[in-house]
Order: sequence, then C-alpha cells, then structure tokens
Amino acid sequence: MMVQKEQSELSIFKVVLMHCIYIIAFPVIAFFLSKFLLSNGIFGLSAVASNVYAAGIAILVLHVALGAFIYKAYTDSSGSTKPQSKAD
Amino acid sequence: MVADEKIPIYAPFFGVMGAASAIIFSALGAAYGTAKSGTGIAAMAVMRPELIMKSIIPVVMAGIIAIYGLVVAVLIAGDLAASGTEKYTLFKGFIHLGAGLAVGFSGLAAGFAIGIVGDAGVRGQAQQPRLFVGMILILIFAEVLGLYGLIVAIYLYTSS
Repeated sequence: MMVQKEQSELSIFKVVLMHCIYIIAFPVIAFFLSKFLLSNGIFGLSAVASNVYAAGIAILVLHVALGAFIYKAYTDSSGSTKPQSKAD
Repeated sequence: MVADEKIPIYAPFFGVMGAASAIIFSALGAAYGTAKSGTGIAAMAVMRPELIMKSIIPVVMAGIIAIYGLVVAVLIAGDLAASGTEKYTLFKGFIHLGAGLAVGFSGLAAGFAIGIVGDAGVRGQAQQPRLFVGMILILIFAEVLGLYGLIVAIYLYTSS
C-alpha cells in the first residue's frame, strides 16, 4: 500500500513536471524558431510582421499546452480518486 | 548638427520603460496569483492530497500571465535594438510605452483575479469536486483579461 502510494505520487509529479516544461519551454522555443523561420527562412517577411506572427504562434502553442494540461488533470485525477476512496 | 525634433536622444527612454513595465507588472500579477492560490493549495492538500494535480491549474494560469508580458517585452526590446538611437522616433517610444503599460496592467489585473479565484476555488473543490468545471471557467475568463491586454499591445506595436 505504502509503496503503491509512493509510486502514484512519483507518477503524478512526473506528469506535472512534464506539462510544466511543455508550458514554459515550448512557447519560448516556438517564438524564436518561428521568428527566425519567418524573417530569414522561406517566407522572408519584414521585422515587425515576423515578430507579430511569431508572438501569435507562441501564444497559440502556449494555449494548446495549457489545454493539454487541463485535459490531463481532468481525466487523470477523476480516475485516481476512486482507488483512494476505496482504500479509505 | 541640428538634432531632429522627431528623433530626440531621450526617445528610447519611453520604449525601455514600456518593455520594463510590460514584464514588471505582468510578473507582479503572476506572483500574486501564484502565491494566493498556493496558500489555498497548501491548506487544501493537507486533507485531500489526491487533488493536487487538479489544483495546480491556477498556478499554471498565473504563470502564463508572465509569458504574455515576456512576449511584449521581447518584441519591444527587439525593435529598440534593431533601430538604434538614430532611427528610434519619439512616436515609436510612446507607442512602445503604451503597449507595455497595456499588457502590464492587464496582466496585473488578471493575476489578482486568478489568485483570488484560485484560492477560493481550490478550497471549495476539496469539499465539492464538481466545482472543478466552474473554477476552470472562471479562471479562463480571468486569464482572457490578460490576453486582451496582449492583443492591444501587439496591435499598438504593429502601428509603430
């Protein structure tokens, strides 16, 4: 029982940490990558336009990551509460 | 050696203040949201530790407010660095100051809202788990306030 509880704690921590890294790192990476691609790469937009599109893409990626986290929290936690209440 | 009226030496000051206020006020709001909902999570998790995964959501949403400010600050700083002191007009400086203040104060307001809603929502969720959906909706509406500020800031930024 104790080992199982510890295991689930670790798995929850892993999931939360993964999603936090997604939410923090992906928008920053998306911003600079898309800015580089839009201004220097195939599209060759002006500085202001590429900045604005890059910001939009970063915000979009951010909300997709947030939505994934909320979905995960909503589906996962409702499943994990059942065994907990059963054990009690 | 006549200094151009539209490009005074102090013009970048306004842009720098815009970039600084964008990240300062957004981070202030995000910090308040994190701390306020964090106390709620700490109080709730003593009795219901299995709900921690769901309760982290206000903290994450408060963190996103700071990313809005970061994006605008990086945009303004990039424009400052690109145009230098020779091409940076006073008009651009005012625009950047307005953009920074727009996203900064919107982020501050959204962070306050997220903190208060997160605290009450997380505590209530321990008693009634069905509150989760309502809490998420209220948090999204609080979050959108910061997004409005970001949209106005980016719109201002493009008009420079």
